[in-house]
Amino acid sequence: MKKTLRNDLILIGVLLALIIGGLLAVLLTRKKDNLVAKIYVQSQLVEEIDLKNEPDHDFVIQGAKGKLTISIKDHSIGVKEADCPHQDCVHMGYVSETNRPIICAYNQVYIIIEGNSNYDARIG
Amino acid sequence: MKVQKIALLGVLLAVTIVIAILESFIPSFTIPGIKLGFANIVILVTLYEVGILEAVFINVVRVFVVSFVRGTFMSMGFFMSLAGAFMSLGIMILLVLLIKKFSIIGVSVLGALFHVTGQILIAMIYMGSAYVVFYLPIIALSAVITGVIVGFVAGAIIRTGVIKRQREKYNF
Repeated sequence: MKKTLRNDLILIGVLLALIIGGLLAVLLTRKKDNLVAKIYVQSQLVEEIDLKNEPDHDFVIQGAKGKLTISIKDHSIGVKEADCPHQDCVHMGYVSETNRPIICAYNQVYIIIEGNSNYDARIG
Repeated sequence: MKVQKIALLGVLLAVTIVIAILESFIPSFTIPGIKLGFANIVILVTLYEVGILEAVFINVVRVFVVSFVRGTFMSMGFFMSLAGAFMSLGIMILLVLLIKKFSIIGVSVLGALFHVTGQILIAMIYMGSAYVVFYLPIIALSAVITGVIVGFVAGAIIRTGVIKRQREKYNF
């Protein structure tokens, strides 16, 4: 085996090991209960939604350049329509777990889902 | 500069622009604006077969022309592409010139990885949010896979000797 080819394989192996480690870290730390969706527009928190108790409905928020229709469905949140050229945020679909933010770069809107353990603490 | 060389660079530039525009139709599903970097096939072939300056030229002109065509000039996507293009070509030049330890596939994989790293850095600066790190592993995985494919294709093109023959024939 050529030395450069062996180096290539070592490189790809090391990278894949790091990637698998990263994927596991993201997957193992995600939460699916007591979720709160936070909607940020231009780094300002504009809406906080308790996904567990929120009924299914759509609402419109004003982004940096256009409007986004945000939809709550089956305790998950997604962007239904957006005034942007590439529709990347719409393609991201509905999210009902942490560690998977929805990002709309064109309108500078992020929807970040956090597992809210404070709820339990307060009851206790 | 010889006419034949200008023509060759024109063809290479045209091919990389077409690849980059086709690639922009693929939705990213992660951070908006992230590209896989298949246009790197042409950059790699240029780097190995023509020269460093020519590769830099094609890479930079490509980013500008694609942004004009897609109407993304001076947007976040444009700066992401520019940063990705510079970081990717920078590491590839280093690997080819100084660290001659990898074959074209290793060079391509590291180029692809630096390409997405540059894009993610700009996205993080632009959005002022570190939340994009959750997408890092999946983007890195797609970069490694793309890098291997790009390396194979670029290697195959170089082995056909199509550019080398032109250079020998017209002596540039």
